[in-house]
Amino acid sequence: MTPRHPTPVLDGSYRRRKGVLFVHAAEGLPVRLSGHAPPAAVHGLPLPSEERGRRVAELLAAARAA
Amino acid sequence: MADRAGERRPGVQLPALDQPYLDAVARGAGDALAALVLAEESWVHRRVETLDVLSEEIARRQVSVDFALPDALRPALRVGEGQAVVPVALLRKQILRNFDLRNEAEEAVSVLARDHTALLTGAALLAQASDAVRDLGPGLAGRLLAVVRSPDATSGRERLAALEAAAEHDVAVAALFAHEPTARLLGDLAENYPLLAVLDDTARRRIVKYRYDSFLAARPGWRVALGLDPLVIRLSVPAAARGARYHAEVALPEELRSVGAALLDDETGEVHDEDPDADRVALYAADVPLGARPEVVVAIRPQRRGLPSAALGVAVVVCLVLASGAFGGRLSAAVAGPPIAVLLAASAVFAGAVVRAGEHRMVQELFAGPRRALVAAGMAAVIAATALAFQFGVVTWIWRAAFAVALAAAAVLALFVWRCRPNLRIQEYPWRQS
Repeated sequence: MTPRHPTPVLDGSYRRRKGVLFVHAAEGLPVRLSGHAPPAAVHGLPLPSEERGRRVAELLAAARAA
Repeated sequence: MADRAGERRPGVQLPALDQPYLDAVARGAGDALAALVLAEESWVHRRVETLDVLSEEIARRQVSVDFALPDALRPALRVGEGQAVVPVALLRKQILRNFDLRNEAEEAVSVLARDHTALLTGAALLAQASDAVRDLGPGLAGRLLAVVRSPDATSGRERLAALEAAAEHDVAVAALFAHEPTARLLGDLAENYPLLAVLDDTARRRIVKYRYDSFLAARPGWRVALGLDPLVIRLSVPAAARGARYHAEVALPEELRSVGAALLDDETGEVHDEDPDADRVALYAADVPLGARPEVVVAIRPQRRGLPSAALGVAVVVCLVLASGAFGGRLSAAVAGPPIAVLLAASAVFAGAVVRAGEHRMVQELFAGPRRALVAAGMAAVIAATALAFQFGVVTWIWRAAFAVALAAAAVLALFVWRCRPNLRIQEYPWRQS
């Protein structure tokens, strides 16, 4: 384990240097919706059930047909 | 089975390819997927991301996902016999290069095709949307599905923006955005899609690993080439903000080392972890906020041993020989043999140092500066030797000029070697104020 050092505030100038490489990821970030707080985990959703599942299946079929 | 005219003929009737997924939707897979995507920290224990810089253009990424599927959700996610779909990552809608997915035994794992993924993510969105708007009609459902089914990130963002704009004058659309689970899913699924792995035995804790190639273009600036600045690589790591814990490792080619690395938030500047001194960077963070823009930043320097030190030695020898001839020796053809032999021998050494087969391309890029300096010193030596051998008229001045070039090259190399010294590493944090 390497020693950890106290961290002063960031200096953004390193990003403007020539030679700084950026490597994109395949993973995506959520789109930020206007008027919404930063995204947070959502708990307590309804449990899956056949009743809810059938309703969604019908809605999907209706949306496909429309 | 049907013939070309469409008439069904007796024989084996194969089920439609998407039947297992339609069945899963009817069992409530939409609710189960929504619960998993919206609260990953409750079932994904850890993600470990390893980045291996293969060349100056390609970096290989591997992300391992350690998770335990909640018992209550498993039946709804079942597809086929004893298998279940699991959203192991949220990927941007773009083409992946050299992608594969493996389990703990390094066996290939199936991934759902785009249309089946769209079917299940559409079900997840509609399951939540129908809670937000009780009488959700097929028209509005279709507009929601259009966001999820967008073929790429750009069109997904545009369709979401159009829907957001409609919320100003459409009460039902406004209700969708006011419903947090629906809004979160729209934000997650407009530009991205869940990578749905088909796994056996989801009753136990599992680890799956996916890999793909990322592309970069290492073109160091002159300050990096001279060793004044380290080469800085910024790696976007959105996976750090999903799941409970996140580890990142960056493997560097031999002859390069990290002189400082950090896992930080690009927007707020918050530093989650640092690794100041390592050949293989290791960073860790827990509970990175979901809305963060996490990045791994690594400052890289060449190691001092090897080419830089050898090049400096050659340049100093060339310098000394040229200085002896230019300021103290007798430059005549009668005594030209030994100095020419020395200079050509030095040139041979420099040629050996410059040309090295099998060197990593990233190392080549970072050693471009000292190599050019070494070439300059070698060329100066060859020109001086040639001027002496053929008795050009201004041999002394040619030697003095060659000495000046070799001295400048030696100075550049000395600076490079000095900046690569091992005890400098703890001082280099390009993302900090000094």
